[in-house]
Amino acid sequence: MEAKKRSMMAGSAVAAGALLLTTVVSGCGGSSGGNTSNSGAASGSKSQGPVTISMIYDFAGKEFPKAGNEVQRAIEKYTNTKLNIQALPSTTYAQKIPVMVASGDLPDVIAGDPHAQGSSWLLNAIQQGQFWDLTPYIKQYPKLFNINPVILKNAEVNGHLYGLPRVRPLARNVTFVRADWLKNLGLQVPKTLNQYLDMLRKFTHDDPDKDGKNDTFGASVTTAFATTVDSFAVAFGAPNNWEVVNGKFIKDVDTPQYLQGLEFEKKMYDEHLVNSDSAVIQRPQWEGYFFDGKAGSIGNTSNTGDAYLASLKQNNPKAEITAFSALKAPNGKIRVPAGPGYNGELMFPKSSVKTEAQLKQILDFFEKLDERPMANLLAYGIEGKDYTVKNGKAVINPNSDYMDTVGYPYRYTLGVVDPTTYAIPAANLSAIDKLTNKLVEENDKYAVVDPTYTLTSPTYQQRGAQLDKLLTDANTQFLLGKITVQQWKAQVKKWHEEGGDQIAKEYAEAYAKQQK
Amino acid sequence: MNQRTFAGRVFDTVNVAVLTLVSLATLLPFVYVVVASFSATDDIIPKSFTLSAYRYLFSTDTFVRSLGISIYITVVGTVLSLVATALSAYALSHRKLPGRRFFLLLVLFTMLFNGGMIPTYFVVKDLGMINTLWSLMIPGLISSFYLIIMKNFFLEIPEDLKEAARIDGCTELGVLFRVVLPLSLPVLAAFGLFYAVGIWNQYFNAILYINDQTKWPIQVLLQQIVVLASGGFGNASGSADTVQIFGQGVRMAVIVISTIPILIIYPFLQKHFAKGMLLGSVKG
Amino acid sequence: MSDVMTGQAISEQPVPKTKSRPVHELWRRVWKERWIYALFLPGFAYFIIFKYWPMWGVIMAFENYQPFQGVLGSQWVGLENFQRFFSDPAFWQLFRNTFILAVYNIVFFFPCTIIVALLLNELRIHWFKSSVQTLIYIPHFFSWTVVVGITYMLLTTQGGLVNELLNMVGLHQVNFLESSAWFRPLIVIQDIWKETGWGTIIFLAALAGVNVELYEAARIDGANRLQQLWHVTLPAIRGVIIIMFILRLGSFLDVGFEQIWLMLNAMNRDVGEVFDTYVYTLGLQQGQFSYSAAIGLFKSVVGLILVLGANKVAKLFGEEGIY
Repeated sequence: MEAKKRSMMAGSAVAAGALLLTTVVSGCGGSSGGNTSNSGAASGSKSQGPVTISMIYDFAGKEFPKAGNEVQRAIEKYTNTKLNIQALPSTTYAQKIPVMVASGDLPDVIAGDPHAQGSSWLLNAIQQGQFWDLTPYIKQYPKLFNINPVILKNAEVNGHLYGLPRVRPLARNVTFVRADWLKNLGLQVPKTLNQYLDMLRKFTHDDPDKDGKNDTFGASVTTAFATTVDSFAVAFGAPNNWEVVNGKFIKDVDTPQYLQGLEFEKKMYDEHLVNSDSAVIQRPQWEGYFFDGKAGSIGNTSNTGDAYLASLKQNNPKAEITAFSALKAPNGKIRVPAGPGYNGELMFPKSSVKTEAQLKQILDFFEKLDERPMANLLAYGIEGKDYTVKNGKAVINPNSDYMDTVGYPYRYTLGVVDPTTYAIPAANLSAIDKLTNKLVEENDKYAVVDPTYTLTSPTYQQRGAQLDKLLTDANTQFLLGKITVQQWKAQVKKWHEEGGDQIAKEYAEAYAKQQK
Repeated sequence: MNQRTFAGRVFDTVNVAVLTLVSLATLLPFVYVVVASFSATDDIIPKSFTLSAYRYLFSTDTFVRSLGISIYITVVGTVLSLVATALSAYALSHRKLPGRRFFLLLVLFTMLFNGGMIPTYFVVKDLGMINTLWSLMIPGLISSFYLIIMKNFFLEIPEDLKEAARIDGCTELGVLFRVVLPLSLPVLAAFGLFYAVGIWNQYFNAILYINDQTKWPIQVLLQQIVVLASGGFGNASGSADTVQIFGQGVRMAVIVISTIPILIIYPFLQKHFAKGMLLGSVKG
Repeated sequence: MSDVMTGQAISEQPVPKTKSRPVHELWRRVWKERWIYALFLPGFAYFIIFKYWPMWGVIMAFENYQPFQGVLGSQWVGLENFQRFFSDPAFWQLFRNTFILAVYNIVFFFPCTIIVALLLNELRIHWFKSSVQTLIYIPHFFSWTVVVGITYMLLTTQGGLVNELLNMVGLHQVNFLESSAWFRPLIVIQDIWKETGWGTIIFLAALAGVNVELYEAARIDGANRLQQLWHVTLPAIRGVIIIMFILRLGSFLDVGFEQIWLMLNAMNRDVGEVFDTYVYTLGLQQGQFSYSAAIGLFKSVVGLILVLGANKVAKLFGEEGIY
């Protein structure tokens, strides 16, 4: 077994081994002198063959491109590396990675999220020092760690950073609306919760598609995906999951504002403004209602606008969409729940990345991905094929297969900082993308952060999934009229008894420790 | 056949009617799936015909290669499994075998208890099968379930037939291949089918044991499409970076493609079920 | 009569015992069967290597297993996982839900496969028989995602076929998919629809083995179709039915994870949450490897008890049993 493990490593070790030594000598000397790793690594790599980096990560596209494709070749050439990538669909990834960890067959880079449910083993491994602590290196890679401090903090474990967070906007949920329907009804994009409700009512009753049939409804919702209740509750003033008050942890369901949000959403169900099968449907049906012109609005992440418009237009070429995000509550305040601001972290196991020099080479690689040529590649694709440059701006080719060849396989998986930060500006961003970019930026002002992202509660790790389910089930049952408010409150009480109180206590302890 | 009574005819008619209904109930959804795979839109009732879903699938680099890999592991794996199972089943059907009961319990026990995914992965890894197609055929070589059933089928073959063959100078292998297996063709056909379908459909083993994408069988590719389309929102922020990439047509085409190849082998095996071969030929 | 007809193998000949030197005698018998052992060798090796060698993984159930530390390095906690399981507030609900579904499955689904196999066997028109056989086994190849998708299209309150029909005849819509009362019937119907055809194969293989002369003999004795079915066909496949039944008991508490997972929602979880879905939540979503291993072990022990018990009963009734 030992021999096998060694032969598995051979790819990275033998190829990199000798040159590591020289990099230590030449490269480290440079970087300790205060230079950025940029020049150091570049000079080191000129005299040597490419560095092999093996990785495994989750991937959301349809088919990972073959090794040796144009994009990967361009990355490898620029960064002087040889990439050995295994990409798996996220559902199977979660099942395979613990097995790989157990077997010791880990590549140099793995994607994981120590804060996600189901990752307690990963957190455990971090606490045992199985992964490289990146905190000491942050200053040496200025492009790579150019990350919103809130997000950086969210990604930390006990004040140390153990992975490169794949940064996403903090509050990235937007609602897409049929612009043509709004126009038909003479409505504006809603700015307040009441205007929103009004829009849903008119979408349902006033024949927004002007086909003379009563066949539309306000919003397509599913309990399997977007947690709309939480965003309404936050809008009404409830905490985003938890809130710290005088060192004590208050759960959102214990606030009256949460119930206000819940009752607001119940109105939508009671008046049939949303689909009645929200507890049942899967993604295709949920999105289908919107694409087929049955539902007038749908919520999703900000980067889905183009694809939604394209799918809509396939069924109805005249369809148009617009979007909104934060809505003003009756009390005049605007609040949106913030996510962690990243989608998984790229982590480096000490079992495969054995030396600091090796780690620096890998960090060099990621730093180089943020240099302009690479940023352009990740943001827009291959020049001449996916985009052209005009007056220093990228003119995107609307017919390119960029998402399949670059976006899903490399940008969203390997990109740490959003590549558009370092790329040339785009000349022809679609209207909906421009709008959602703006919305997401504005949301930063209104974002309410969940204080527990950086904290650990052993009870939550152990029983969190069931306890969360207890509450989401109670919400759904209440919305669909299966239980009353009293029964809903009884479920909340049950949640407290079965572990909720314990979790609050543990968070408070962890928080106190962190504040010291 | 000429002695058919009235009651017998009523029985036949009702029987045909019942089975027709049963077949329709299974057929209609399948027809729906096939039709939807040729449909251009996501509507329940397709409005126009298109081959784009199939064209898309066949245009991907990996599709044809994965199909070839699936066919290869299904054929080779089924043969290996059948041979291994038949040899063991024959041995365990030998009533006089000392230790038979112990071996049967040994087999039965594995049906109920298993070490789980991680330890099995270690075995596959230690045998050097990671990233080889063997990892998709050998770890599931023998199903204890099928082995026990096959052993019971073999038990029903009269002992004197085997004894006669032995007296004629057959070795045990000879008895198995000249007497037992020819008499068990329906059973072999059935288990061959079971094994083939099992190997054809395996998905998770491929994800687990095969790191090299070029060695993935077709199910991995197809599942990826179906699963993705039905949404794998598995990240911390509760939101995926994706939108629904595949229309209904592609998803349905996936189902058709993954079903058809294994479906067409059935009629070839079916003739073995139809003939009363096992004991009928003994007397004949 | 029925004994002759089943074509049961000749009963075991008692091995003549010699009083002297039993060890030598055993060795002689083993040596005599050396070729049989040789035939079993590949299978034996397979079971040892792929089934027994990984069996150390069972230890995980008694540990607080951490992938990085491995089985040897992880903390030993003894029966703690089991104690936690049996005192879990959800335990009895899980047990009841799993048990009821398992019983429904055996009571409704299992007989269906036998009945359909018998009906198929009675068909006289050859082309029709083979067509039906081919058709009814198609659903087996559909993944549960597809089956649940079809169920949804038929039953949803948002324009599903069945509810549209109910509307047309002036009845109230039924919210089948978000109902505790409909959950179990739907699961069983889906099972029957998907797997009955497939389940008939093993019985048809057995039926193919029935000696046609037995039917002729019965006809000459004046037996009608039903009597032939009762006295010839059923006894002929009785052994297989019993084996299938016993083996099924071994996986009694496996009620089909994927199907239930996909059918489960907030409105029917009170009757729908079973051991398998609970373990999935724990194992994959919570990373509780040891706890889920402990639940798996519990299920295995229940299966073992059921199989051994059923086998004993079968033997009491003079059946072959599984060992």
